[in-house]
Amino acid sequence: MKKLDDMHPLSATLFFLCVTLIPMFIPYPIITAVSFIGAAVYVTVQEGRASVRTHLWVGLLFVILTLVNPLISHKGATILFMINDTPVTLEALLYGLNSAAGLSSVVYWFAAFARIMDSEKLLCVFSVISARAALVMSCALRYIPLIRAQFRKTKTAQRSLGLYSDGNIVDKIRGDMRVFSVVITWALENGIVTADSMAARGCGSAKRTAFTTERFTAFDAFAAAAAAVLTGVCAAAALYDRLDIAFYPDIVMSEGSLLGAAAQAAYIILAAVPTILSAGVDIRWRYLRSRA
Amino acid sequence: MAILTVKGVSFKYPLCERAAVKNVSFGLEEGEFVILCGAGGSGKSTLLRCLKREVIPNGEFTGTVSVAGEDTADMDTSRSAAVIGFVSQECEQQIVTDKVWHELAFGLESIGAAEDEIALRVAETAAFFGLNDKLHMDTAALSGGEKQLLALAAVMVMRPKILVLDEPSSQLDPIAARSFAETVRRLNRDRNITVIIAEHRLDNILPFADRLMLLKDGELVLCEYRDSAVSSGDEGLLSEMPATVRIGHELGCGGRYPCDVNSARHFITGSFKNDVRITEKEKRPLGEEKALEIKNVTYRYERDGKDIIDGLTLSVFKGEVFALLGANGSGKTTALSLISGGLRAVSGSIKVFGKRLKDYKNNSLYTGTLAMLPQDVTTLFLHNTVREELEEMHIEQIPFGLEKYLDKHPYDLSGGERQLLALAKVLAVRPRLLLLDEPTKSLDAQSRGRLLKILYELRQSGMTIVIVTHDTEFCAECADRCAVLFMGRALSPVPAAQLLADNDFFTTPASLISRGHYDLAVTPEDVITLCRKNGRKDR
Repeated sequence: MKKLDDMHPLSATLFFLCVTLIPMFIPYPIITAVSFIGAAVYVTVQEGRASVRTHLWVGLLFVILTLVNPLISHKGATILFMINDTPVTLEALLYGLNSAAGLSSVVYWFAAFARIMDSEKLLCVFSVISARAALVMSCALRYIPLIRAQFRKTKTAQRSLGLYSDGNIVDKIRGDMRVFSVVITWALENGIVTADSMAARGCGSAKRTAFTTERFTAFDAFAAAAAAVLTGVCAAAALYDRLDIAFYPDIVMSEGSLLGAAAQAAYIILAAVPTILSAGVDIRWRYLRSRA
Repeated sequence: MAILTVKGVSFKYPLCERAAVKNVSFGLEEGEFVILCGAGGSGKSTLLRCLKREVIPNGEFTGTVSVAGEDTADMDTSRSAAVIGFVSQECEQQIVTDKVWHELAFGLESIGAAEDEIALRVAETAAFFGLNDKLHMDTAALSGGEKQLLALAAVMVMRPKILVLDEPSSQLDPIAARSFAETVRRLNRDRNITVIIAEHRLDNILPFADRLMLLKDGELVLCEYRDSAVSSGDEGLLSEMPATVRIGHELGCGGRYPCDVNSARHFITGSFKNDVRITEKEKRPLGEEKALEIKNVTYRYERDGKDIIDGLTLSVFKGEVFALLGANGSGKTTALSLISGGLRAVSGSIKVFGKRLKDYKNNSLYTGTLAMLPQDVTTLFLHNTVREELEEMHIEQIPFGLEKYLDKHPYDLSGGERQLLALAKVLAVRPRLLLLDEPTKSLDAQSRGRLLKILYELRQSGMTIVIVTHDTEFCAECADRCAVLFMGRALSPVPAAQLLADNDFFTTPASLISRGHYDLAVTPEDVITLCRKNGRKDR
């Protein structure tokens, strides 16, 4: 058993893709609700106290998204009240609620995903696509901060030559432009040294190996397969219209069916697994420690 | 059998009339440690690059380079990349990837080695270089010295037979340079790696060298075992030699030149009397007026971080040359940035010519009052030619012999020339207080001498100069007073000779050679003068 954090990045990425894509393509209330709750709980488990900030931001987004729809969409049979002679309907409100849950859960999942995927894991995902792509990414990760630092240094140096005036905004922008252009020259010039250093170590002389620090284990394979199967069930249910919902003019949902129920159960498992794994690993750790 | 055989190598850059390297031939035995000497522009770098097929510059190349009898031009690409390792001086730019482990793996990835082999090689190399606890670090977070060690390690992963090093420690501080030199020596002695190295400062590596080569205008004029090369008395070679050898040569030490401090000390104390122990130097009267007054200044980079500058108090008098020494990360550069207004102190006050920094309004600090030469002088350049750079600062009379380079791109200048151009730009604002951040870093002996002369002239003209440096020998040559920066404070400033003659680390080789025997002799010239004055001991 491994936390999502410790899984092979490919499995983890597949997992996140499944768990976020399903509520995006199947906006079925139970699915969106499960996604929202599952993500919120996972973020809480993952970040602990620091999650309060994430919750506040996502909560704000959730409220706004919920309220915007009934204000612009006036379809629906059940009128709740009137604003300036335009009706606000229950169906539009529920529609807003459903899509808000879906969208904000995606934000949640991405926050969790970003926390897990550091540059080394991202590199590993890229290296599956191609060793060259991975190299390009690694270079970019190195060079962007370097160029930013050079920009800052150049700006300070130029200021101390008295060539920058700090009062006038036009002068400031003009100064920044000049510094920016010279930093580009600098980057190209340095690129030559880097290119030499790459060539000196045989870059381009043979088919690149993509070396990563990650190892793909049986558990990673199992997790990936499980995610694929569970997603398959959901996809089948969607294809056979077992998870359909229409909001206007009246709310109509697919009738209960075995496939629909299975798909809902599958998604519940999918959304709960990250939390279960995290909690499970923690509990086992404490248990092992207490016995030591 | 010779491990490296170079036959008739010549090289000409496009659009150049003269060849940069002319018909160079030599052979190296396995396990030799060879230093390539030569003044700036003599073609050292070009020759070293010609040795490795992958980094030969654009231009006309003729001749052959063979490793263990096999012409490198005929090797397949992965093998020729691996067999000769190349490290250049740019510690920042030769690192390609963002993580230390990935940088180590890079070469083997390139030649398509199997993953398991890569892992084993990386493990082994990391252990040898002591990089184990840094494997998952960002390469950007390493210090300059660590970066250069990583660059060397990343080459050693490929198990080269020959290491070609092009001024590898010219951008490092003395301690990092020393540990780099010792690592190279370890590779040479323990792993039988043949080393050919060019370096600005030979103090660290001369004792390890088996052979010296001297390049003059692209021609190899000397390729001899160390002792006979040194005693050949070639002026060009001697000017690059460390203080120990120069002192030995000036005082006629005979056949065996002292290559390290101990043997030079034996020579001096054994051969010369010490009736006169001190040279009379004229004392420069210091003004009473303060050019710079720092009181209780504190600075930190992050709100919850620790104070880098912690209660710094310091006064520099008008017309004085003041040097600030200190270990890496002791806050020297930070202190300069605070003085120049690049950073703003958290507390305390900084006065420049009696006026507080914040009372200098509208750039008036930077017009006619204060100027700073940063460590990385390329940050001062904005244009495509030297001419434009100078015109921007309204410089009409071209200083420092820069006429020759007017149409060159500033980036195409050598380290020394860049420094001069930067200095010209900085001086154009007619500062009364000049701040220099590591001005001798990456300068060869020649450019260093030229910079020294310029500083003498500026001092004569009454300019106040504050230098932050690791280079104690430079400090001995030009500073009136120095202070050591430690724990964010400047320990009390004393006359430069006194500080350098009193300390074991913040000192010069000349002082280490002569202390006990003579007093306050901190430059080779001091030692030579005293020895001559005293005369030889009677046998």
